[in-house]
Amino acid sequence: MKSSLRFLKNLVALLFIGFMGFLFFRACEDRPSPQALTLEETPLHIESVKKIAEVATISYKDEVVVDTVEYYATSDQVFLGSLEKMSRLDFENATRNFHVKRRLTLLVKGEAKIGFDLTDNNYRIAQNNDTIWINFPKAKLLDVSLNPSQTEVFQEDGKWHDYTRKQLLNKAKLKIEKDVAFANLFLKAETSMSVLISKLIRDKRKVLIYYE
Amino acid sequence: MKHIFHLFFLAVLFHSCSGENKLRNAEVYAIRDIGELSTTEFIVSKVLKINDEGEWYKLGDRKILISCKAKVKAGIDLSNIRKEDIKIKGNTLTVILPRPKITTFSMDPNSVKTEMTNVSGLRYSFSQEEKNEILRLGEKSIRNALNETGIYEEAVANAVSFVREFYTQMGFDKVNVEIIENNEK
Repeated sequence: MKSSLRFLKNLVALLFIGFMGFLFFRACEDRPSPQALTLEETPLHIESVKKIAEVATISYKDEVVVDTVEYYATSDQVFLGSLEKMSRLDFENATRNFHVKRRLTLLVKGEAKIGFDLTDNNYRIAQNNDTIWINFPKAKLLDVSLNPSQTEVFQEDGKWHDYTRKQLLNKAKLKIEKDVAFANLFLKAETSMSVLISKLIRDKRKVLIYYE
Repeated sequence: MKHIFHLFFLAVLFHSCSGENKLRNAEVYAIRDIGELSTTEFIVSKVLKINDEGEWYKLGDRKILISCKAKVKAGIDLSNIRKEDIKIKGNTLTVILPRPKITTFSMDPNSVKTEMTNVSGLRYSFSQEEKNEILRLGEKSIRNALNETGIYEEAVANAVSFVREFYTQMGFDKVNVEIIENNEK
């Protein structure tokens, strides 16, 4: 009986030492700094080359916050979750945001370009002695650029799959597209195009520009 | 005691005011008039490779392969064409175009894929913050390699063709298109 108790004590002590060792190595590891990563050299592949003719007359830059959060459903889950966070040395979230299971917040800066797709000479010019008529297609959203250099992972608690990050970025893109439509930038793009074309045409004749 | 309280109140007030100014200065996002003619579109892809062996005291290593694609458009800035860059002599027009530039660079999140990760020992798995940092490095690497793809030459050739066609439709018999040599404009 005595020997089995001693064995149990030794086992607990061993487990404790093992756990402390695990925490020590985790502490040495610390949270890796993303800035410390170095990219190895790999070639760049050109997948396709396309001849286009797009005139962008409006640039709209915006910064959006996209966020997803999951909460624990029961108090048991809160308790176990806090223990799990502590095992990851994530004391701040284990004590302050104990009810939050995981959270991912991105700050995304994007740029939308609005203009005209004139690919394959998609415009018409007619003229007589005193007037020039130019018919352009209607203005449209040409691009919404979201790039990693303009994306900041503001808060990341818990483990997240790439799928969620992609979903959040798509949500940010959609928000910028909606803002472009709401601000009625297409009309402004047409006005800017008229000013630009007037500068490029050095002619004394009257210039009439239509968008259809 | 009263003076100390007033000083403290003023300090708090001053601090809060300076914070607000900082925020106002940061709001630079706006709608801007531009005049970019994009004449070529390249889709490029790259495999981003990280082998994080870590320091001697770190048990295990971490490896990751991410494939990504970028859509790059190049062309010229039409708003940089000055009055003196367009010369008309009879039915002949000569136009000097600015140097080509990258007009759009976009890494679509849907074309980014983690192909492989391998984390061993007591190392942490790659976080989304780290993956974003890897993509940042990839973006920088792609941007640096664009010179060698021939995108600028392609953009110039297509811009010349577009501008020539535009002025021909305007009724000019001969259209000379030149590209400015230096970038001092």
